[in-house]
Amino acid sequence: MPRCSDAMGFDEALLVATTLSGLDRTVHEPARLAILSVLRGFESADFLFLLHQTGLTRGNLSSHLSKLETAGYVEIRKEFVDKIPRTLLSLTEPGRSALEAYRRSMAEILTDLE
Amino acid sequence: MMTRIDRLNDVELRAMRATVRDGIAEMLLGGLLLVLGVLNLIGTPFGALAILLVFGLAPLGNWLKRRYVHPRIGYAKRLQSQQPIRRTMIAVITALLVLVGTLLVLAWSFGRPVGGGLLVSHAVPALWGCIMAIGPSIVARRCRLVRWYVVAALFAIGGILLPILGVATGYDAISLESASVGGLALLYGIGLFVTFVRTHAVEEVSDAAV
Repeated sequence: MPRCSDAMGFDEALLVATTLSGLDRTVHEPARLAILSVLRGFESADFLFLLHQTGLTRGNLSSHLSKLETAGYVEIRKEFVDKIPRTLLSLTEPGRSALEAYRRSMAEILTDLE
Repeated sequence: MMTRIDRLNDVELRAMRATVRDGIAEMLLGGLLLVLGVLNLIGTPFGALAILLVFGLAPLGNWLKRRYVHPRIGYAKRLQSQQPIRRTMIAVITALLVLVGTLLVLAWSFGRPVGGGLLVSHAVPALWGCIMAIGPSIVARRCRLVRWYVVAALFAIGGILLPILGVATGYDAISLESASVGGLALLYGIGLFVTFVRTHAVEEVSDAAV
């Protein structure tokens, strides 16, 4: 079976491996990445909106949001609109930076692989 | 091959599109333009005052969103785009070039000297059409929505063609264009809104665990 290093050369393979190992694991997880990507274009969004856009189950979304909040990437606020409670979620500055850094790293990896 | 970055962009784009799928923007813009156009065409003294309706659009839009959209697909507030000054300058210069260019082309094609009469009868509707096309083009580009490109094209082409075809000139052309494009947008918006309400059920979401 051909190895990655055979096709692209040792230096390039090492570079890709180093970049991959440096990826933020909190962001790299597909469900969390989807949540961050949805929030990227918005100042804030509520739980229902994220549920629709990510296609996750309620429990799953809830658990990933808690992890993102713990990492400081997402801010969770509660408010009342017409006496109905609403959970508002927004990307924090560190969250936005982490997502941009992740996108840059992925773009670099794809460029190196080409 | 669709890369991970493409998929991320796709997720982001779908989320952006979801906020304009309800047809409320089309209904409000279309309704306002229709009222303004018709009032100006029939020459009522309230025509100019009708522009004040623009202040009622945001509250009405927010109410419709709160009442019909948020309980169905959730609430999302878009990030305000920070338009760099360079882009604004380019837009202003482009608008001026369109004005001068339109005047010159019209003067050349009709053999008339460039003057105030031609400016009001032909160039003002063309410029109005181009200015009105800017907003829909921005929405279309941001969300990659064909229907907003159609609205933009209708405005731009209508503003140029109505005076040339002799249907209407000057401020009458502006009113006629506003009424016709507004009417179409309103009908289309109502269709989208009704479809949206019928195809999306109201959801009760328990987010207490978050």
